[in-house]
Amino acid sequence: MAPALEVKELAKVIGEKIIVDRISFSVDEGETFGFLGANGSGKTTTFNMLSGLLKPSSGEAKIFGRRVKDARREVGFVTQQDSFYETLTVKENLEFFASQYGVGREKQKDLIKKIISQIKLTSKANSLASKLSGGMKKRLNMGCSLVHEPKIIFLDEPTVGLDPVVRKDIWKLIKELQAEKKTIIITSHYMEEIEYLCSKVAIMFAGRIVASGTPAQLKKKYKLKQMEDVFAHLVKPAR
Amino acid sequence: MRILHAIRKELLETMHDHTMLAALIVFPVFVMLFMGSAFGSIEIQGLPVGVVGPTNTSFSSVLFSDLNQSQAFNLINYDSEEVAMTDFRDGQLRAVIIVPEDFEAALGSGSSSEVRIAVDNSDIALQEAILAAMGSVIQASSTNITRSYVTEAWDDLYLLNQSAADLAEDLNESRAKMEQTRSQLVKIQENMSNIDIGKLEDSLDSAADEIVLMQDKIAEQNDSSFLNKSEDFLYNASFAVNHSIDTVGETHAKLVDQSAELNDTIDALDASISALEFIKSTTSDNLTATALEINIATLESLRNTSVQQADDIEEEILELESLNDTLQSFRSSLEDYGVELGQVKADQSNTLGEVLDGLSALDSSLIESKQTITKLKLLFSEINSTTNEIDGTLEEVLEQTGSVDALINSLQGTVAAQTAKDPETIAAPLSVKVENQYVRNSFVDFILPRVIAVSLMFSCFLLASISVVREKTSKTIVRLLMIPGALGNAVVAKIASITLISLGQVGLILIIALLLFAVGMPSNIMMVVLGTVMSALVLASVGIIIGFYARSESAAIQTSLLIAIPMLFLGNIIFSPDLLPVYTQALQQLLPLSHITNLFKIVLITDGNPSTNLIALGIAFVILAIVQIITVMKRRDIGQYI
Repeated sequence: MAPALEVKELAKVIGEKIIVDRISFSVDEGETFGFLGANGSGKTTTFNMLSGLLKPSSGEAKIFGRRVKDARREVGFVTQQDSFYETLTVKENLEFFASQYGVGREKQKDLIKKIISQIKLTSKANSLASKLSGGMKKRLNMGCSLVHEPKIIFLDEPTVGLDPVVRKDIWKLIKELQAEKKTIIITSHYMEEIEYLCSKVAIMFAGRIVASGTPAQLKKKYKLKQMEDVFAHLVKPAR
Repeated sequence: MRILHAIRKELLETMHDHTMLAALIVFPVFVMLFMGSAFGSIEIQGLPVGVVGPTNTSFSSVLFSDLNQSQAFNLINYDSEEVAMTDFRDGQLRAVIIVPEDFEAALGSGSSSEVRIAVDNSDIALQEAILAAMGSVIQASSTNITRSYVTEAWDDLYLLNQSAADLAEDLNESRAKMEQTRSQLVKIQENMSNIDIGKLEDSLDSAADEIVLMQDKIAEQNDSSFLNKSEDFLYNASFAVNHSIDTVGETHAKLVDQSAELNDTIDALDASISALEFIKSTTSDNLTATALEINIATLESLRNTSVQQADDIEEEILELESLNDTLQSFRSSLEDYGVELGQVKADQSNTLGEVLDGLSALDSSLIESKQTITKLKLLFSEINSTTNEIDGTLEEVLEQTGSVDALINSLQGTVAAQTAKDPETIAAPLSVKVENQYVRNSFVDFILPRVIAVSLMFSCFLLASISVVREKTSKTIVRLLMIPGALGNAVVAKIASITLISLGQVGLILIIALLLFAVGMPSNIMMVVLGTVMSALVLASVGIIIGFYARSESAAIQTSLLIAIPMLFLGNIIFSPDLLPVYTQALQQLLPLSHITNLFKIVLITDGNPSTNLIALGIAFVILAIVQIITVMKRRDIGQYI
């Protein structure tokens, strides 16, 4: 069985600058894979290439054995910034994105009901998105990425700037997705978030993966107690 | 100091906002160019104007020549008023001039004629410009026609004056001829009184006869003279002597030949005899010797005879030579005599020639005298012809008196014809009836197309551009890019929804106009819908393209204004396009707003056929659709939105 995500020698060069430098890794189905890296380390560029939004300069990435371009229907992409229509209601937003993915009307009704419940916005289903709180908007943003039942979900800094309560809500939602055997790729600055959510971690630095493994393996390898120390240890030479 | 920093910050912000900078530079230039042109002068140029009615008559050609020369109008002839008015309503013509059928006849008789001008009163500025231009031209034409009346009168009077002058000249000429004739007659009469022509003629004739007689006698004398006879004799004698000399010469030559032949024969006989004697001396045969002796004797006898003959011939030759000398001497004497005779004859001939020359000179004098007499006769003849001429001149004078009467009659007729014309009519022969073609119930009627066009332009521009900008600022465009085909769908959906909104907007405008301003319902609702749909498709497409390139909503609004404001100037909204500079004409045709305004004007006011504008909008939409596709393809890079 093909891995959920398989990346080989993936690279992105813009002008003379190497943004992503021939990275390789694979993620199995149902696994949650964490990308750690400082700002400008190439995380977001890698994410954009894996989600099919950006064309790689070289190398290849396959999602369930298919080229990214052909497997976009299987991908859910949760952007760092909210990306939905503020002037539409929660339900209207979900209906619109579901329709664009070609989800049938009957299935759409049940699916949207389920997602609204999952993102805990049942009471706000008919509220304008602009009227939602920050946490609600984050949840709606995730919900919009789930309307076509993707098998693999990319989360780009899903909890950045959120208060601890809201962050916990998001974690809970991610855990629910893990329970549904969804493959999740996540980037984050928060080490505890990565440790809590990810079964496997890759640390990116200057476009390259400088270390990868389970959080426990990495801490053991570098004989450090905290992932933050591991991260600081790996990116220290550049700072 | 803090206020200075604040000012610096504001200036820096403006400098970094390129759209605002462009607006700050472009707007004043644009306003200067087009407002200056529009308000600077209201000169119109080359406006298409239909002409119906007789255009090739002398008076109408004056009018249309003046209209053409003004360069304000491009006159197009129509056979039918109906066809011209259809083109007028379709927006192909700005006015129609209808010339009455009796135009030429009315003006020709000195009456006035009324020209109808159908104008587009929905465009007041253009209407006023057209009427002002036409008014001045018609005023000029009227003046020209008046001038033609006056010129005609002047021409008639000039011709009369010319005829009178010609007549006076003829009279003077006749008088001069008569005086000349009279003086010639006096001279001739004076000359004639001194000459007896008959007597002179008779004496000349008798002298001529005498000369002829003398000439005949001299000729006769010349022919029968002794000298001529002697000359004939000498000629004949010389001929006979020459002939005898020739005969003697010929005979002498023959005898010389015969003598030579005989001498040759004798020599041959001598040789034969010698040979026979040698043979005989050598032979011992007696018989042969005897025979040889006989032969030798025969040959000697023959030789002797030949010698005798040769001697005779020699004697004859000598005689002939003597005769020849005698004849030669005789011929010489004849020649000398002939020379002397020729000299004598020449002398005589010279003498007679001189006499004949004298006679000829005399004869020439007689001939000259006769010619003089002939001239005299001609003088008499001239006297007769001059007399006849005097009669003719008198007749001419009588005829010219008749012409003077005719001239006076003509003058009276011309004056009567010209003074019969009404001075007031002649002063202003053309009048104009302006026919406003469209009914105006309120101030809204004629601005309704512009209201709709402007509303559509701003709503479509802003709705489309801001909608696309919001997709980018809200990052929803990232989701659309993630979904295969979703961005294209979104663009089509935006245009379609804006088109529906535009239909609602136009409907609302029409309902308000109907209810509040009593504007009539458009006769062709389907064309209103079609026009709105086409307008919205084109304008929304422009808005979509603006949205893809604008970074923010304010930039989209600024860019929309940057595009909209020139279109307001050139799109038949603020100014009539015909009143703007000619170089903007082509640009106007490229602007969708011009076609949208014209389309709604035709549909709502003129009730014509807006197919030209619909086709133009269709072409614009196709081009813009292609530009949108290219824009969407180029703007798919996610890096621009994250």
